Amino acid sequence: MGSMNALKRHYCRLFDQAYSPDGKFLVVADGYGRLTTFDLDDCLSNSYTDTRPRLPAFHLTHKNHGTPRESKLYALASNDNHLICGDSHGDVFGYSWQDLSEQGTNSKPSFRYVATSCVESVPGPYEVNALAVSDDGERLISGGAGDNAVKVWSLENGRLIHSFTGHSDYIHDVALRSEHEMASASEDGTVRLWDTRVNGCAHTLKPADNQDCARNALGSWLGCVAVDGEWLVCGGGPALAIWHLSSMSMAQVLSTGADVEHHAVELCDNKILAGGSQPRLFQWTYRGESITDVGCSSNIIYDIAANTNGRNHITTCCGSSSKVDVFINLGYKSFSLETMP
Amino acid sequence: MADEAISRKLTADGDGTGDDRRFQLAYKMLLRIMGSPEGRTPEQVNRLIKQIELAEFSMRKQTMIYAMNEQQIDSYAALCTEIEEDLKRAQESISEAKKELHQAKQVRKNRQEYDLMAKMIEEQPSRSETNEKLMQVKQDLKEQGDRQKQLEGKLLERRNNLHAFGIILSQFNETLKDDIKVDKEIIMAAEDTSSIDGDDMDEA
Repeated sequence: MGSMNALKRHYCRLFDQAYSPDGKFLVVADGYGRLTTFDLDDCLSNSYTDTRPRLPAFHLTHKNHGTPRESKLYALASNDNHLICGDSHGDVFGYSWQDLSEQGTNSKPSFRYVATSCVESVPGPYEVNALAVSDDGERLISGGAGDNAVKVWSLENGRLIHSFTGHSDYIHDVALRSEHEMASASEDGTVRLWDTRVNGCAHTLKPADNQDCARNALGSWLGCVAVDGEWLVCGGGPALAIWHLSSMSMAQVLSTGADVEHHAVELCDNKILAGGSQPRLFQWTYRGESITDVGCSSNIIYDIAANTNGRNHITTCCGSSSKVDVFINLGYKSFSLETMP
Repeated sequence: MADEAISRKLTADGDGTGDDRRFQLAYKMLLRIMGSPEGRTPEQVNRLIKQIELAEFSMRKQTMIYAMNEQQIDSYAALCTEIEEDLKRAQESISEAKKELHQAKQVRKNRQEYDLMAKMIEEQPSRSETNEKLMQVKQDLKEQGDRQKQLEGKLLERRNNLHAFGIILSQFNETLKDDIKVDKEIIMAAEDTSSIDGDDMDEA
């Protein structure tokens, strides 16, 4: 039993994180289909030492009734009322935050959308890889495999508002630019900017065609994208770089020491945070200068999240281990949260 | 009843320095002195006066303590209000500083984006340079256009000339042919007459 646990912990992968709207809880989605919740007020208090680890508040195992086994949870997003998760079978579930705080482990999902459509030439299942919620909390953007479409859902009535097809391979990440524009990064090597006003793809960006950031040995796939107004940061096979959207040209390559394939990028507080195939969290200014990089517990970083709700302003990153690293000050790692104690 | 008496005594006792007992003693002494007008001795009177003086002294001391306490209360109240005002001012300056910080962050972000854009723009050639190039290229284009027109004109002229020359040649050719024909006719006519003559000559 102990060795089984040790094996499970060794192969644990944490794919995405989300914060509750009051900033008190951190929820982490992992490869065993579980949502692990941490009480941040408790974890940030001074009563913990190195010998006494910080434990999760509760685990919620997400059961997708259409499948015989548990599905992995690849994507999480949050709005004021719901925690929304996307799994490896193409379904998007929502748990109400109130339910989670009251019933904990026994919460049941409040809604379910089938987010990826079947494609005959590609065998299923078609996972949902990325979720994002609009600023007003009304719309959910999802991207995944299958028809490789970016879908916009209305969270009020669960209807599919738009479905943008165009990518020729599965989508790794989506990001919202404004209330009618969004960007998606895909395995096919392009970042596409979708606009609901023209109901289609407004622009396409292919970093692998730019000689400054192309790294042909690593491929042309794009693992992550983040947008802020005029600027877009994306990376993956090609090097992580800042692009200027109005002129569709590359502004600056964000270089690191070795060749890192980036899986996660986050723009917060005037800094660009990124992580990928190295156990380090890289930080740059908006000018493209490297600030520093901090060591992490996971060998590959899959997600970086910053808490802007409530009072606990921390940044966390998770990846190919069972630990979540918490950074109160981005200069050093404050502590780790263990999801499989 | 006894409780009331005790509580009254306790409240009247004040500091508990035994003033109440002193008053009782003085009262008893006074009664004794009043009661025996003959056995009045100066010591007894003195003792009574001493007790009364002590009581007066104690009273004065108590009033002074009371005044001091009042002053302390006033000064502490003033201190309290001062500290409250300082607190309020400090909070205001904190919120001002927070606003300034937010603005400064925005300014820094804008400055960084500006730097990035400036770098991108630097890589492109300047507008004056491009304008000059444009002027140059336009000039070249005009010159080439003129030259082309010129050459075309020449070509047309030469063609016309050639055409005219061709017509003249063909006319000349015609004329020559006509001449040759006429000559041939003359020769043939001459041959005919000479052959007739020749026949005549053969016969003769």
